Amino acid sequence: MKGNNQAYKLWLCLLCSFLLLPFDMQAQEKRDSITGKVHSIENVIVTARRTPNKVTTGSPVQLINKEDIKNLGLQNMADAVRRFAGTNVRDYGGIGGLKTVSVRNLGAAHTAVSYDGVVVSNSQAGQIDIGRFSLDNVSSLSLAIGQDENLLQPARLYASAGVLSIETEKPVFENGKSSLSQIQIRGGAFGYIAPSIRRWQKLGEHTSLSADASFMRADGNYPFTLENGKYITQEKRNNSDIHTWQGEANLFHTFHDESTLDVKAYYFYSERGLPGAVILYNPKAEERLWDENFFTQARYKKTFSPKWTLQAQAKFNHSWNKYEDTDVKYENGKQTDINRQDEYYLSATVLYQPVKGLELSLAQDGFINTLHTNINDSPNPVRYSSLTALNARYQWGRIKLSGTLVGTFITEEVKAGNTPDDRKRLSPTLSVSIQPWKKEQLYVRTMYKNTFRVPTFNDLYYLRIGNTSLRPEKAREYNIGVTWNGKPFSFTDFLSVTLDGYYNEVTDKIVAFPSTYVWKMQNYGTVHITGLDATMATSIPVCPNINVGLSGNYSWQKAIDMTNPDAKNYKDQLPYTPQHSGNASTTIETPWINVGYSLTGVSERYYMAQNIPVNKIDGYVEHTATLWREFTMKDCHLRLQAEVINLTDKQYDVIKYYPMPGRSWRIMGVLRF
Amino acid sequence: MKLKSLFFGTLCMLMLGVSFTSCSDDDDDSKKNDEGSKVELPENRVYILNMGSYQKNNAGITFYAPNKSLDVIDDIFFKQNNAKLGDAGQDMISYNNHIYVAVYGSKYITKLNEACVELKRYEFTDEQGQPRCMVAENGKIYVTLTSGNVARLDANTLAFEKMVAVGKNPEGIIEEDGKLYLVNSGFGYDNRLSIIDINTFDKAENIEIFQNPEKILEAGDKLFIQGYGSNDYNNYPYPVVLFDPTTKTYKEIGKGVYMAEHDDIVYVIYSETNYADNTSTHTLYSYNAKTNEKVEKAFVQMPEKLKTSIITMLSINPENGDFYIGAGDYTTNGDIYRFKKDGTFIEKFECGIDPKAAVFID
Repeated sequence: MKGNNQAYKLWLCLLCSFLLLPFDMQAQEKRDSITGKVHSIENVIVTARRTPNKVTTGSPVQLINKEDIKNLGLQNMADAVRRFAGTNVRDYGGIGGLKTVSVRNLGAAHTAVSYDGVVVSNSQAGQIDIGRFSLDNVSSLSLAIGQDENLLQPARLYASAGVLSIETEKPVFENGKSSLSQIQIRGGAFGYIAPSIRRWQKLGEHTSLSADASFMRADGNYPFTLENGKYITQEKRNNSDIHTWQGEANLFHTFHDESTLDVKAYYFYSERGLPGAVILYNPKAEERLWDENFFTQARYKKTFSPKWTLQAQAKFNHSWNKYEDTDVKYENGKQTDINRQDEYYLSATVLYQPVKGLELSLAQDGFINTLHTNINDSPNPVRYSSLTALNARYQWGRIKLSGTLVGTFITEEVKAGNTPDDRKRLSPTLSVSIQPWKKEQLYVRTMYKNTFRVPTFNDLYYLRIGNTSLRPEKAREYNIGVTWNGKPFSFTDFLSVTLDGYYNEVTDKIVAFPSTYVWKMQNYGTVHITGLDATMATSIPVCPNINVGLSGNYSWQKAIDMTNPDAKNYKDQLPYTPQHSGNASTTIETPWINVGYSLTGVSERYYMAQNIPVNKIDGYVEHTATLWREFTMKDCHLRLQAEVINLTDKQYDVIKYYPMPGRSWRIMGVLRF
Repeated sequence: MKLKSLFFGTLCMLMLGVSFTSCSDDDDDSKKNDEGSKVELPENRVYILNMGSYQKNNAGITFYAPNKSLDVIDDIFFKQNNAKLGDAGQDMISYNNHIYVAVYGSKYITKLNEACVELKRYEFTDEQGQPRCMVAENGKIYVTLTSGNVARLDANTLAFEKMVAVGKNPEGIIEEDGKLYLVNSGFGYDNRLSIIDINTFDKAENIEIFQNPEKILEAGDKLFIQGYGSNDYNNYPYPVVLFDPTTKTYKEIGKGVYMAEHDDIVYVIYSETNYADNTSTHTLYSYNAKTNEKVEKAFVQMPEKLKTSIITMLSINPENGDFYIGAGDYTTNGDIYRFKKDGTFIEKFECGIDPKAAVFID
């Protein structure tokens, strides 16, 4: 037990000194490790379970895999994504509250979200509600600032300032089995219950099928403390109920020529109450939202020769939502907005490797987006987009160069009103990664990326404030970093550290600009963002049966408004941008029980543009703890898990007047057979 | 006396559990009812109602001493009441030595003493809707409500008495010669002026004027109405019209977005925004309601900054004719520019976000 104690102390010590480079600690006795084989550090790409970042890429890429998602008790996509350094997740609270992600403060519309390799789009609002995606069948989440290194991707994934990639689990059949079933049930505070089922089925030598279906409901009416000067009241979040139905089916087939075809069909339906901002003295909240989303996508991949590979993708997406508010101020006491968006998408990418070390790829995407609304005189726009991406990567010894040039052409048709001009733009990306010493897994990386976002349908056509003469909003990213992976101490399996400094500029920012009476969307705004992201991860085999994983990150960010030297917020930090933020997590695996513990913290922020004390909101640290154990009986695996979220019952807001839940609990049982 | 008041104050605090620190106004010569005030205020006071930002609960009231004997107080409502005013300060008037504030998002009206200490409050029901504008007459407060009604409340107790259906989404309201006149915007889809006999207060007569009217005032027994003039949001004409209550007809006197009255003269500001460089330009003129003479000359000498700023308020101190022009960008704190009656610039001071209305206590 002595060894255990020492290890425990060490773990505490490490936890405390989290992001500092490890102290020169007393060397610990080297132990055998049950996970040693997994945590291979000889490979160039570290496949270690808890390495949350890729060290060899020219652009920062961070990863969370399904083990961490489960073992840390991550609640939803937003909860997972906010663990990436440099992300800014806007969470309007509760299960049904909107959750969007912005990379390094460039804005949510500059961050693409891909689901199994295909971009999820929302041409109307520009931002994706990541809260909608279930974490249950996610195998990995990765966040690439700039883009990741895969050259066999659709052009769209090279066109954004950052990409959040959601990869779902693929069927794996062990021990000669031809099927797998899983039943899961989760329950928790505020009326939360979420059963789900899964079936993986082998349909033949080369064909398999996976199907997932889930239901979720919650009352969501969590209590919170409202402070308003002398009034400190206990309130409840009203009108926060939600229920969703979600399902997807995937077919995987490998042809005789080794080419592969994946086909997916996805369906989502939800109805929820929108509690809205907490309005002092007025608890009325009657807004409701219905969402429906169906898409089907197919991916075909064929390697013709060691030199030539082709990937082709197609997708049809249909999304519909209905918003309803009940209030006497509306004609007939009700306002109903209905929006329907469709997307037709085709993509083909060819990868060519003419000589060793050189890879070239050309990706061509074409897609059509439509929007229909029930608003009178709605222009019902149709957008035709073509994106071409030319990529090159060259590895010369320990130097790796990557370059991308994306050409965009967009044209639009409207039923009524002005048609915006066609848009043509080139967006270049360059990155270099250098490994100075052959024996050391140390890389210096630098990246430049120039992207833009097109105005959304709302920006262009939204009732009264839309403006069809908007130009695209531009973003420029510069990154320089150093990454290192190694085994500096005998008591660690590995230690991985990354440090990146960056500078971003957003110009022609699209904002709602006020005039005396009328607000209009305008290209008005310049933002300069300077920041630092640091990440670290390590794994410590404490004794043969006990393993401790530690990971964390820290971000410093200065994101200032440079729009108007006469404005009162000139050079002020942008709203909802903490200067310091970070998180830390640990998992402790023992033969008896496994523990996950994580904390996320941000420093104080401003909720309005002007940096004056009255606009300040406090920082917070949120703790989540998880206990789980897996039982195996023959071919049956049962996992039982309990989670306590916001362990310290900290009352905090991510968005002012959208209070987050206090301490709550969840339990989960998963039976796999 | 001081000791006594201090003792009384302490007693108040103990008894009510409210954190009054002193009742210091008992011992000066103030004729004002400042009971409960935490600051000693000068006789002459200007209060600016700041609307705040949408759903941010940051409405407030800025205090300004025109004789500069006291510094500006950012939010005197919070200071006096240790509670926020709420969401979207919509309208503020003074009546019978009290101040009344309509708070749109928070859906209530409140009665304050002349030091902004809250005395009474009425919270509207969901059926009554949210308050927009107010007028006071004969011990009653009349409030336009988003539900398409005008409510009558007792000015003393703020008890709700009755409401009368008018057009859709009524906005500005005034009293003239025993009648209430109010305009209905319908959020762009109404075009009517409603007239209610104040004595019977039972039904409204609706008269079609122009599309989407918003503000109304009285000068020299005439009514002046301002609004968007259309529901084509790309081309609002922003008319200001003179309405004759006897013939029930109107004629346009010019364009305008803000208007205020002093000594039977109506002062109008018309603003245009150039979206190429996102700056505003303002045209100012005045109209004499007695002589029907329009003077197309700027009635104030605007400092350079104000010339391109977005104007959010025009108010005139009824006592001395000083102009108070509010400007801001709706996201940061606004500024109030004060001018003498002859148009010379006196000074500017900072207020909260989106200054909307002013009340002058003399």
